[in-house]
Amino acid sequence: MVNWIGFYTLTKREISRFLKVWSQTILPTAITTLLYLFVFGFAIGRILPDINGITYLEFIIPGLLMMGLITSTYANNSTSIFMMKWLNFIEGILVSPLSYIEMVGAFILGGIVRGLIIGTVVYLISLFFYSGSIFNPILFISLMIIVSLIFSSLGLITGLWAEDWDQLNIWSTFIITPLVFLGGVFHSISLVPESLQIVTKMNPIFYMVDALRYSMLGISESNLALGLPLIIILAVSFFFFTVYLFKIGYKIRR
Amino acid sequence: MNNIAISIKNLVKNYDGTEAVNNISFDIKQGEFFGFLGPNGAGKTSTINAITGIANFNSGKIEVFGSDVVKDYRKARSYIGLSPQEFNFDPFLNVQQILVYQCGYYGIPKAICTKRAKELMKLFGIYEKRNASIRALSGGLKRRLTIARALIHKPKILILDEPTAGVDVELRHYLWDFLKKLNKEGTTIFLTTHYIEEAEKLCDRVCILHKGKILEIDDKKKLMKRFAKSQIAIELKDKLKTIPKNIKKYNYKIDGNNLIFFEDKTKINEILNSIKKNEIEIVDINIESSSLEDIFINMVKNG
Ligand SMILES: Nc1ncnc2c1ncn2[C@@H]1O[C@H](COP(=O)(O)OP(=O)(O)OP(=O)(O)O)[C@@H](O)[C@H]1O
Ligand SMILES: [Mg+2]
Repeated sequence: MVNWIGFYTLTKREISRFLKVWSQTILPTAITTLLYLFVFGFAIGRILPDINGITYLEFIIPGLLMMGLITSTYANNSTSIFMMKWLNFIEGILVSPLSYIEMVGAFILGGIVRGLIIGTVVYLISLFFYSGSIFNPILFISLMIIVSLIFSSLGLITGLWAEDWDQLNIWSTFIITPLVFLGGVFHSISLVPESLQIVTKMNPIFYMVDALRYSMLGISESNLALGLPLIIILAVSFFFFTVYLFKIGYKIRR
Repeated sequence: MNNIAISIKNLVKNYDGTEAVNNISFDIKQGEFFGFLGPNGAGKTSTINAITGIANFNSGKIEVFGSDVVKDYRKARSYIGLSPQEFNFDPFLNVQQILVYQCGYYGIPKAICTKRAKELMKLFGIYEKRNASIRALSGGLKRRLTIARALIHKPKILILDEPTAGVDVELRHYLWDFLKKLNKEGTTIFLTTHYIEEAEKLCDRVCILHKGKILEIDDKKKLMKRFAKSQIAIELKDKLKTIPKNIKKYNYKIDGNNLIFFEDKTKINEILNSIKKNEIEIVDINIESSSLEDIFINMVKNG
């Protein structure tokens, strides 16, 4: 039997947490997106050649959306769980009859909502710069949800693992940010020397950025038949791995 | 329904290096007011954490109304309300929200939660602070909030880890009356405290834990009877020069003009007669029963 009210309550707590401080959780992404679009897309992009028949400005819009989504869902859940652990108030949730799936599900749903809000904000900002047409809306929304799920889970995992604020930041600085930048947010894989393309192709974020670009603009550089299943497999395995960590009480039930 | 509220079998909890709980077993019956005593570091909180799901444990088995706290954790947790030793409030919520959200986690609809939260806040005198953030509460008010939060889902078992630490006399007495009433109405209460007087006043049964092991567990009255030796102090007019023979068989000591016996109160007549037979003049008599506190101190010292 699912404890729907409990699940809903924890989800609501997660959502109101970031909404309450929207100037720290939503606004920064909006501002950086605007700056990137203006400087790279609008100013520098004008002198760059089109990529697969679309302007450079249009090319980076899906990339920026994916970048905002990944960094903010990751930050959202890693910070939330870390704070809960750090200040011990995770105990209030541990003593309740929420199941481990419900706990993880609520945290992740909170992250997905944050991801969708960020996605919407970035999309609205991009309307200043392009027509706003979306090639495949269902794929577009599904990708936002599923990628938010992946990075919300990853945020939970590293938030559980981290024992201080420095450790919490290691992952985003040394792994996630580099993978995002190398994942084709700002450049086409064709610009990468052929010998190094294999590295890009091993970067899962490349498939996410490219799939989103396909859903928005209808052009793709990756093998979607490989990328989409990969994204789904990542989402499912990260989710259940996180549930497993809650079940064993990894670093939360001392 | 199973009338054992909490059953603990061979519980072992180690932190790297420390054996916090060392193979303890006991049952708490439904409706009981159970006192869990022990000096700092005895393993009381560790035991409570194992029962409530805050901590894992190394081995043993814990059941709450027959539900295993690991395998059937959701059911087991739903029976218990915990007021922890250390404050652990969600800093993003205000006083009323803390109660309402916690209630929600237990699957109770919001309208009911809000109503209960208001009742409990009034009951514990924190209603005026309902919109305050936690930072704005004094220690005593925070303590009240932890107890209100523990009660928000009307648990069958209330676990209180040092509820009266840092609480003023008035609130302490209010809490004592409140807990007694709650227990009479059927709630099983598991109380940890450093005020032995509190356990003596409230508890039906007492467990004394020391260095992770149970020293004693018994009905409070039986425990006191078993260990209680009265202290009978008899003040004499003159200092004794020699000890009369018929007194030597008792457990006694001489302290100036005082002759002090450590014997059961029932022996008082016999002792007085023995003294009179020697024509020793008595000035004053003072009898003190040992309290749970004496028993506790003695046990922990020797244990
Ligand atoms: N998280 C932890 N990590 C390491 N050791 C711990 C931890 N928690 C408790 N201990 C140790 O376990 C032992 C039992 O601690 P516990 O908190 O259960 O005692 P207690 O009986 O509740 O004491 P108090 O009356 O001070 O609250 C102590 O030696 C303590 O130092
Ligand atoms: Mg303790």
